[in-house]
Amino acid sequence: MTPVNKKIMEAALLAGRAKLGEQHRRKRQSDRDKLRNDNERLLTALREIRANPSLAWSIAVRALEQKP
Amino acid sequence: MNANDIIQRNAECARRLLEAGAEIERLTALHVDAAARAELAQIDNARLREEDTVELAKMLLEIERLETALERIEQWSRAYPLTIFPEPNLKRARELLEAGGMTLDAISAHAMRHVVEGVGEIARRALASSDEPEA
Repeated sequence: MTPVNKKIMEAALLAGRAKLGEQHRRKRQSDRDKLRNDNERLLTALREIRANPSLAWSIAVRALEQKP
Repeated sequence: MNANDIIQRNAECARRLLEAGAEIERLTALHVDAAARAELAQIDNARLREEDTVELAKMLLEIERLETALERIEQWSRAYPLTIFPEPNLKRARELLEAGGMTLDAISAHAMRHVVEGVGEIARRALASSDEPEA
């Protein structure tokens, strides 16, 4: 393989890795966002229960039903 | 072609050979550099993936913990089914309690206080572990 061909191959390899890396990054970000939303939903329900325990059961049932 | 021409031609060939050698060295260095960068990027990506996995696992555990708290509260709501604890005759209960110097309201308040404090405590504990300040 000539040095120039090697250079082209390396460039293609780097571009491929960059594309894959970007796909992984987007997937990870999407997973993280989903988990953050889920966490926030549960925290909100527990805050509501702490503030108003007499409504605990309906709040808990609603939060658990909204589970994605 | 005289001797001078031959010397000049040889000198030109030698110069070109040196230039070609330098170019090969330069391209080889670029290749090595690109390969090293690609390898480093791969190591970096693997490290990031590992960190992400740990972070996502922590988030999942936290969600599971909060869900468990809500499920305990929800389970409590099903702890006294009518099939096992039928509706009492409240009128009769009031009469009996009043005959004994007690009120049904005091008993009801006691039961409600127990429940409300219990579910409030489950929520408070779950939020305290999340470093959530008391409202």
